[in-house]
Amino acid sequence: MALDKLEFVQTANILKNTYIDQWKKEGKKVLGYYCSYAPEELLHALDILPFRIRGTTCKDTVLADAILSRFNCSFVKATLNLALEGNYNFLDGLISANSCDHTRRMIDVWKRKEVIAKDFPHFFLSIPHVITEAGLEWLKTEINAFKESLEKVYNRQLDEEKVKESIKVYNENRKLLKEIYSFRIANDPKIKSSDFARLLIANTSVPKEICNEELRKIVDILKERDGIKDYRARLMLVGSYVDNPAFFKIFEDVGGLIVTDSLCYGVRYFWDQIEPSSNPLLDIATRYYHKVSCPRMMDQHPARLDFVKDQIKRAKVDGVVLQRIEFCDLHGSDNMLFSHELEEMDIPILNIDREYLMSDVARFKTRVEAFIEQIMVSG
Amino acid sequence: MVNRLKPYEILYESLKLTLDLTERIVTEDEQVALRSFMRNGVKVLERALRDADEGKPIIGYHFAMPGEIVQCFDAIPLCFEAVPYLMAALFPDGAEYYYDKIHSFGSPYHSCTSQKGIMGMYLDQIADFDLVVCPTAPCDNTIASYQFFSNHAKKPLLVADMPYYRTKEAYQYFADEIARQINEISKLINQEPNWDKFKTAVQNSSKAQEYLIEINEMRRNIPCPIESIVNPLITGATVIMAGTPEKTQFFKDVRDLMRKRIKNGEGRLGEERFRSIWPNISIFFDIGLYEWLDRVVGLSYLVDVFTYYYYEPIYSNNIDEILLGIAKQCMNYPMTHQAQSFIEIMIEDTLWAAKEFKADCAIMTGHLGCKQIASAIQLIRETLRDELDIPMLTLEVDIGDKRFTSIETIKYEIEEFAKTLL
Repeated sequence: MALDKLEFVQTANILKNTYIDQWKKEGKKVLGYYCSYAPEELLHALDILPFRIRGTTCKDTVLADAILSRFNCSFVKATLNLALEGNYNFLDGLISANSCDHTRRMIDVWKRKEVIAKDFPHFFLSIPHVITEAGLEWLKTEINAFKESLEKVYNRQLDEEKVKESIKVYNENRKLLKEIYSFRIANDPKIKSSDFARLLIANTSVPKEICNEELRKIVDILKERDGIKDYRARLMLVGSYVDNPAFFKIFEDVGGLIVTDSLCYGVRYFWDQIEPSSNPLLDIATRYYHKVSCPRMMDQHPARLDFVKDQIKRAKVDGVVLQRIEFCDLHGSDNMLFSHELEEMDIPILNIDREYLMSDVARFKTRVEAFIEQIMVSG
Repeated sequence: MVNRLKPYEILYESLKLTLDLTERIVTEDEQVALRSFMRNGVKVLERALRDADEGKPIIGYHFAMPGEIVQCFDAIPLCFEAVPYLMAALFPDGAEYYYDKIHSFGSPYHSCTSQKGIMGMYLDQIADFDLVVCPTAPCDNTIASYQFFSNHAKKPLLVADMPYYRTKEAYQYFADEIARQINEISKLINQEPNWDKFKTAVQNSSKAQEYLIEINEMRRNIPCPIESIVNPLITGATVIMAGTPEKTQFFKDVRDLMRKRIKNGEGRLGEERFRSIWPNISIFFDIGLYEWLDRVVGLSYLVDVFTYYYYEPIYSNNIDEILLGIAKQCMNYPMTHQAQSFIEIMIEDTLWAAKEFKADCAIMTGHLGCKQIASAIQLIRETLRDELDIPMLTLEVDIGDKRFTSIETIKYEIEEFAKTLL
């Protein structure tokens, strides 16, 4: 069965979906968030649906261009454009963090321009950029303050037992995604990266209990499937945010299967579990603080490199694609380091920049095709 | 490597030569601020080179890290961001060769030239250092580029993590981070912190700060009693002379000049037709721009993000209190104060500066490296327009690289903007 025919998976193609309609009908809230450091478990425990902000359905950025500079990230522009058009009006609040210079300013712009409404609730998390004991303590306090803000704004109390339950639900979700990932990295992969991307996108747009139910069905479907044999190269994708399945299809169309990645909307989302203890807030803080990071974490490049190397081996990768959305200094610099550090593995590397809206697909496709040729010749 | 401090040697030779020429050509009353900057800069660089000859450790530091903490030790402070921008000001092609060097290594063209200069110099083996200190502010480029020093150059990188808020708890957290940094430096270079030396450095900077507060009081005068070029000079002195008596001397010289002019009823050179504030930073690659603004356009460049800043001078003798004071200073440091936290701070500061300094207009350097400001430019423009009826020109530039936007283009845009002010 084609996965993209499933209603759950199809939610990746739109913003507001029928699950959200039902959720809102029950009088429950939906909170948007930009960064994977938003502790979703807390929202879940308060019966709030976390929805990851994305640029799906954006055609152009005319409205956002009038506010942002030409040096701003095109992903952020796409999301702002959608919000200005009213496509995010189903949200009941926005969570932001000091993740990168482009996304952290969105809370300022949304507030100042009253993008949704004048009294639209905004929440912010100040997350340390290095790993220290004091940093963990800071994050724990920050998460607690976030919890209190949610309680105050939405007039409800968080039950600690409910948080523990939410941690279980999320751990189950990450476990299921990891199981599906194992089909992706198989010698004959049973799922294409474009479909895998759809699952991950749907997974941040639908209530988690439903996600888990759907993911279980998908595991069963994949178990019965034959693996893909007619590909030319196994690739790993590293770098800036990708939330568009069509981006993965560029590689698939020329015979490249992205069998693994180091993306915040990819493997990094589900790689690390929460280790439950008697202190659920500390458990959440610990997981988010120590998870496989993005380059905003200033002292974690060696851990990211280890993660990339491990994935290369685990997924038997033939070539690594380092990509950044133009004006992303964080991934641009991280990719610069990777491009030299991975030389010791003697693995072909493509280091490339791109626009979020895929306005330069032809150029990109040519580069990818040439890269796959290079792999075939050298391999 | 013969000289690990080659960038400072290059700057020293150039600054000294320029100073010698200036002193031969112009009278004692002319170019007072520029000459004071050069005289004091030469002394700071000379001392660093002498110390390098003696084999003292070199500590690379980020401009937004209080350089005073390096003065805790018998070590050489090397401000990474000061180097390419001083080179940009002194040489026709600035540090462009070194930007290209790091570009060819894989650095994105859009990352900040303030760090790319020293990165390229490291690759070219003309700069080296024993360790590096920096904060996690004010921008992504700090966070991204400094990882080159730890992961490629393999130097110990001591990072002080800065929270997003400006609260009592945040200041204390950051003060503890600085204390941790000092402790780690001590271990790495095998020296005990010299707290007396540290206190003297803090006192020097506090005295300079007192002068700056007075300088800014006087800049409110119409016409402004100081030339536009003082802004990049203050920026340079703030970062490269941190904690030194030369910094104090430079600010005193500027203060004295302004006092004298006000007493004599004089303004700066050239007629003042318009008054501008610059909500971001100066352009460094052609400092002739500022004399052109004064003499040709008649546009006073009153203050910018680096030169209107205020923090309380630190008078305490207690180390914990000094560290807390330094933490507050660092978190409210130029650019960090305005751009590391919520944008309301930068908007309020800009409005305040426009009102206080009686500006007719604003000129925003939309520097390619400053993504933390890029999203705020339109918000600032709208606020100035709506609340003060002040127009703002945005210049899309790289402040340290003339190849991105030429000085001719910049001058043309300013001229056209000035016409709209008439």
